[in-house]
Amino acid sequence: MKKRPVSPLRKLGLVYRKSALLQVALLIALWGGCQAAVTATRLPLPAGVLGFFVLVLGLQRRWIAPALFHRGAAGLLDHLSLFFVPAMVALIGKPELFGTLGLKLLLAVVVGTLLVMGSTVLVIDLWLRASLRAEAKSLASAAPSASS
Amino acid sequence: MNLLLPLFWIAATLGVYFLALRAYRRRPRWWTSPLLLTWLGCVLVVVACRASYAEYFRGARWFVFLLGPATIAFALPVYRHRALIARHGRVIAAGVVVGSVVALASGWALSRLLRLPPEVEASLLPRSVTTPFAVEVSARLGGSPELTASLTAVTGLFGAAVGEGLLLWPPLRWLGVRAAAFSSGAMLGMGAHGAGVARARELGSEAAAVAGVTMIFAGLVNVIGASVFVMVRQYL
Repeated sequence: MKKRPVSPLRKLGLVYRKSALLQVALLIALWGGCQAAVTATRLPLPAGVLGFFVLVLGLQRRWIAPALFHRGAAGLLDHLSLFFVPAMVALIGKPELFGTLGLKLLLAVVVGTLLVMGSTVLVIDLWLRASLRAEAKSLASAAPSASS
Repeated sequence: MNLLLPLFWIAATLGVYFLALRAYRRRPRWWTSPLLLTWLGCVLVVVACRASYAEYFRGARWFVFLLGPATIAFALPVYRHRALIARHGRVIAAGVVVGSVVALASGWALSRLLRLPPEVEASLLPRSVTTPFAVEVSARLGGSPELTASLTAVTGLFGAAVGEGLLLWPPLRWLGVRAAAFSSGAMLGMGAHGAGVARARELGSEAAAVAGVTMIFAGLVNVIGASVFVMVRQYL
């Protein structure tokens, strides 16, 4: 067997597909491009959201292979808490939150979250049950003599 | 020295984070979640060093900066779950719209009831969507992104701790709601975003996928809603 020489470009491609860090770098570059586009067009959307739609469109139309961003995106999303926890340290500069205001906010979060979760599950459950009933009905009318 | 200090804060944050990850792997509970432990750990380090948040942020902003690129990264799970979205996108969207309206309405009503200052109210409103989106909504409504990040984290921790236990609540049972992977996943993704998706993973891959898609839909709906709201307010 003769070994075919691997071109440097192909080698770089292979390294890139395995490297989460390089893919993150490309995601950052894409975000930078979107930031420039948002500033230039005065689009009211955040650059990240514009980039999200661009990437979804690109993946769906097969302009972009998922393998180009797969590892980088998984890396960023797996460690998402690392990127916003530093902002939460700001609470040390807001002593007023450790008094009544903090308790009020905690109460608002607890009550609000229960309401959000309860209403969401209720809507989804009602919708799914309605569609199951509709399905059963159409099945029953499609085969009326099946049991006779 | 001035150049090294931000590097120190970056290294300290990374160190605390990796310790927290190890603790969570050894004992996965909601109270060992890397989110909570990293938060407490970083606060401890900053306070122990007698540093201010402004000093800490000179290093920490490089982490916060990555929230933008991370928003783009959500495109990959959406693409991966395209079959699920094609089949169940409408019911998930219905849950997201109702959940978001309830989140905004309850935030607004509770702010009135508890007499919260307007800046705090604006920071409270987007708490039910995942942080990269929530901080953008907060900035658009005139809130404090830092406070929103904290309230969002508390929402996620509380929602994930409650989890499917909420389905045992009598009023929901009277209405005929029964535990199912699909609806539980949507509930966790809408109510508890990132922490909820982690919790939904324990219920299986369907619940996790539904939770992830729900969380991303909720983030998009809220950011687009807030952008439209701000634009309309400008012209009124």
